[in-house]
Amino acid sequence: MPRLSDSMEEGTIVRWLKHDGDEVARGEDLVEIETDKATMAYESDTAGTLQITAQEGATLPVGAKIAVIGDRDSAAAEATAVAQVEAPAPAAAPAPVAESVVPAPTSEPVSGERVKASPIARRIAGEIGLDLHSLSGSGPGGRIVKADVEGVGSAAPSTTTGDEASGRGAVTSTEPSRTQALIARRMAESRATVPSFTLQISVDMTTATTLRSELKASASDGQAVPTINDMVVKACALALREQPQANGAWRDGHFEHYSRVNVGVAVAGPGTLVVPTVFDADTKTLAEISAETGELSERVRSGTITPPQTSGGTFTVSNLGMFGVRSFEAVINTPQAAILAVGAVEQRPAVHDGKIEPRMLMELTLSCDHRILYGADGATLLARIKALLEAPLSLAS
Amino acid sequence: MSERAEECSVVQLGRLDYRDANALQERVRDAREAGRIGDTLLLLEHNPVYTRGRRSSPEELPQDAAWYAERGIEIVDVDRGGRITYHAPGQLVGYPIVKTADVVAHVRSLERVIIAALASVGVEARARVDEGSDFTGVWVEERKIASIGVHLRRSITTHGFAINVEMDLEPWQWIVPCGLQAPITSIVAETGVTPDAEQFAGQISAAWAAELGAAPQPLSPERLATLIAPTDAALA
Repeated sequence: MPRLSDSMEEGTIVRWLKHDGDEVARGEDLVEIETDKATMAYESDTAGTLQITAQEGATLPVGAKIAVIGDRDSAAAEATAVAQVEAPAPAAAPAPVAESVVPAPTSEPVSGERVKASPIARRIAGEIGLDLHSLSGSGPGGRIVKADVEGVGSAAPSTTTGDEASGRGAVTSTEPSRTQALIARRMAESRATVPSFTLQISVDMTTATTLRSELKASASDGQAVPTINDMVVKACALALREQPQANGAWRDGHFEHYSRVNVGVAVAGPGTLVVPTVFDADTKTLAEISAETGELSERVRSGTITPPQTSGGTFTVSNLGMFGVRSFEAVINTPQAAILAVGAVEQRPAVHDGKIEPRMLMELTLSCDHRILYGADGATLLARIKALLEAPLSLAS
Repeated sequence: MSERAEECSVVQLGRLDYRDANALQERVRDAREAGRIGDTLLLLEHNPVYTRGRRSSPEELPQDAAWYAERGIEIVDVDRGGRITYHAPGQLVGYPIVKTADVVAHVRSLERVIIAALASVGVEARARVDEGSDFTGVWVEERKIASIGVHLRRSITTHGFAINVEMDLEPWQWIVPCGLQAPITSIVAETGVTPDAEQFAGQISAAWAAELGAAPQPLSPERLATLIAPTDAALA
């Protein structure tokens, strides 16, 4: 990996301008490298047969081998050897003879899988002796950024002061990560600027719970069964499709309504809150929604969620039922028109067909932005979600 | 190196289609490499277009091309760094065609140029160098006001920067810009005032020339055309 700049520590192979096995002349453009929004065409400093060892899209430290330029026979011989190995790691390629490595040999040892991290995060980690493999990144594609590294540093309190002044014991003051600061700002903005009201409704989930138990019983080992939340997501998507004014936003003094129904699902990650998006949830089957939310939640927990997966939401579902919370009010995820807070499914006495019976009940709380979603519209939406959940076969299509 | 290479020229091109501007900057690049001209800043505006950098991914355009075409926006793939971005009238685009050994230093210098020019119209902006390459560009708090994407070949830069002056920001909502979901802003969105276009271009030119340690020389598009014409122009 050539050094394009004094400050460069790693680069990404954007595009090879020559093919593997091509004869290249000295001074010919070989490859385009990117760092910091700058791409650079890198010229060959020697002539010979090109053998590419780092593929397009790979991000490598300065000095790592990206290709070998040698004479035809040795390159061909090596190419054959490499072809027998499944997807060789750059470091694992055998050292060929009669070659010139492009560029100089690596100055930084690469151990195991390369971790995606920003140069500054890498530097800080080096300074405090932190293994980047032990972190999950909050940057795009799970890239480790400064805040993640500092977040680890701040697990040890950043400042601790005595209790004389406050009477509250030792005070630990910690800087929020970038994501935490963003959450703080957006939540405060939502509460301060959105004229919201809430609507509550009880849903009889007895049929849905029975259906789910049956699905569970008939599922083969390891086969995922849709969760209650998956059903809620699907019900919301269908209801939003029928009631387009709720599938919108109040943005800069205008109504925006969206043609796609993309339901965001609030997921708690380590020290953070992320809302990955189920795109076109109204057109997906329950099984598809279930598989997708499962994968997205896993990505949140492992820190590998990417910005496109958390963007484009038109409505949000937040569920705290797994903690036994009966009902709660969620903060609207601006600029969306509404958010649905989902409580636990609990067995409670209820009047059913004129008799008091134990039923599986769930409380839904819809918070609406009154600038775009009025009381009757919100109530219609909520009633429709309830009806769909109480007749869960309507969700199975 | 020719004598002219010591100069630093600014060319105001007005509004150009993206592909035409791209072809023009390639010719300016070749002329710069051959030493027929010095470091040159092209200032212009584009008709509405989404441009995709080398590392753009399909998720950046959630709709299909026809959907964007209906809204009068073209989609073009280009050989610069970075990911998808949006250009339209009301945005000042600058292509500095300069000779440099350090492309990242060039990017950093463009950030300083833009910050200085924005300060002159009352916008307090900042670079976010420490936060990684996704934060390249110029920001007002957490809002992005200018994008940067540069290509370097044989020590000559192409592409450059785009500053949102008074553009319609809505089409930014239809993409996931630069692989990062960041709010976009403009000078007018920040200050409520449309800056004088000529004055603002002058501030950019002055700040850019100052980074190069020179005074900006205005160059007419016609004069530029003769300088970069691939004829038997006398080489020094």
